[in-house]
Amino acid sequence: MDKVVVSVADDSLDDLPAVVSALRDAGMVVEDVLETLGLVTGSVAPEVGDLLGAVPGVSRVELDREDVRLPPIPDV
Amino acid sequence: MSQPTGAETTGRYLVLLEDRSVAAGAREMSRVAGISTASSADSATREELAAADGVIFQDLGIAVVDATPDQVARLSEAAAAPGPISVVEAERVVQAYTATDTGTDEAAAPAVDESVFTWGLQAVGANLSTVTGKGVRVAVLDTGFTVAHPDFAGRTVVTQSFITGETVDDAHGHGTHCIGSATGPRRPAGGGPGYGVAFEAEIYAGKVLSNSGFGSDSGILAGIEWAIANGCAVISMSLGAAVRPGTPHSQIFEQAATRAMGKGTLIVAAAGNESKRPGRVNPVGHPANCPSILSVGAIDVQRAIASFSCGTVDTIGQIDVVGPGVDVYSSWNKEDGGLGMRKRISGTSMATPHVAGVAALIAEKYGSRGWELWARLSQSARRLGLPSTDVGAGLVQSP
Repeated sequence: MDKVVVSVADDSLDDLPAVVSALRDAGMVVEDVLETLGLVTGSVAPEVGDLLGAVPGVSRVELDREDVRLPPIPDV
Repeated sequence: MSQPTGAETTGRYLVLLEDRSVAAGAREMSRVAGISTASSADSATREELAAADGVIFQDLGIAVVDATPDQVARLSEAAAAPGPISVVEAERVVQAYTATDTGTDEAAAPAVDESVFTWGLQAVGANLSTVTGKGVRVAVLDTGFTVAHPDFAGRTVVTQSFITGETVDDAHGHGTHCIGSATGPRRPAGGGPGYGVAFEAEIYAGKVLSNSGFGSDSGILAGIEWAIANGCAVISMSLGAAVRPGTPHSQIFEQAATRAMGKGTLIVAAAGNESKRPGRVNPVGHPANCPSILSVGAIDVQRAIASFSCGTVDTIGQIDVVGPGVDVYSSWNKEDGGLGMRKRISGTSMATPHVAGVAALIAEKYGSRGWELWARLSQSARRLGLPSTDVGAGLVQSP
């Protein structure tokens, strides 16, 4: 499974529950719905990930980066 | 009348009219000085313009007029009195700048006395500001916070952990350090210099990085959502992932940032520490490289760019402003190095909360949010005589 972040298009923000339900139907395991930001996080089988972009109301699908961290503290 | 000094003038005069008083201003110029004006809004013909003493630019509320010294004196008297005429100035001749070789002309700063305030507070003018951050909510998304830190006794602190299996308690120290720079005390309980910019702001500590310092996009986005929902004016994020030159920024984070701005929340993020100057400058990391996230580089006490500070390398991701980020003294999660529960460390991580703190002061003073807050930070930043690709608009300054 790939962890992903899906963004919902501006004109579909009012239909967020419908978009979330369509994402589930497309095979996404939804973990969190960030209503203010219009984002849905969760995971999906690798071969299905590309299909999420075709779900009505979805504007963008990106892999959930797990390498975000503290910037290394430099020796000055 | 304000007279430009040392500038060549045209012999004409600029008359600034009070807001929404253009028609009254035209009548007043005619009444006090016998000056007739044609309006730019009336599509005046060349002949009409030539016959008039000047023209009024309706949308600007400014007239450009020919006037004798006697008429100028009367206009100036009218400007000094209440009424529709506000300011009279001689019109200047302007021309294209010729390129000159500009090196930095700032003498090296002397060693800074840190007995009362850290050099960082002094560099951003926080110690001279009359505002405190009172009533403004500042979110710091990092490794959490040492809630029982004695320097924060009595402060409003709201916490939330977005790391599965870890409380907000900061076992790393980095989050506590950043919260100290943004919102820490001016008179720490245990003595030592004041080190917090917005020392009366309300603190929202979101743990989006684990105690080992790692996190994920989804956790950070959940933290951003939480900060917006709590009405935070600014979010400070001293975190990121290094990127290679030419890597596109995340469209998801960009959308999150623009939606946050729409709700009145400005996101400020560290540019990254991967440069090794002067030999190598690395690009601004993710997510600070998003256009709608204010990215922060680091300078030292001499106002020089820090050797590690990431820079504007290509058309993706740019430095917007800089803050104090070398040898920064702030709160720490434990006794470590003889400074009590405080520590001196470096990084764009340290510059970022200084900028967030200044943003909170501006938010309090002017009621600014979102894009206005961004604009005021840039507009008031101190120009440093360094490339904009390294320092953006310069060193942020407290209002």
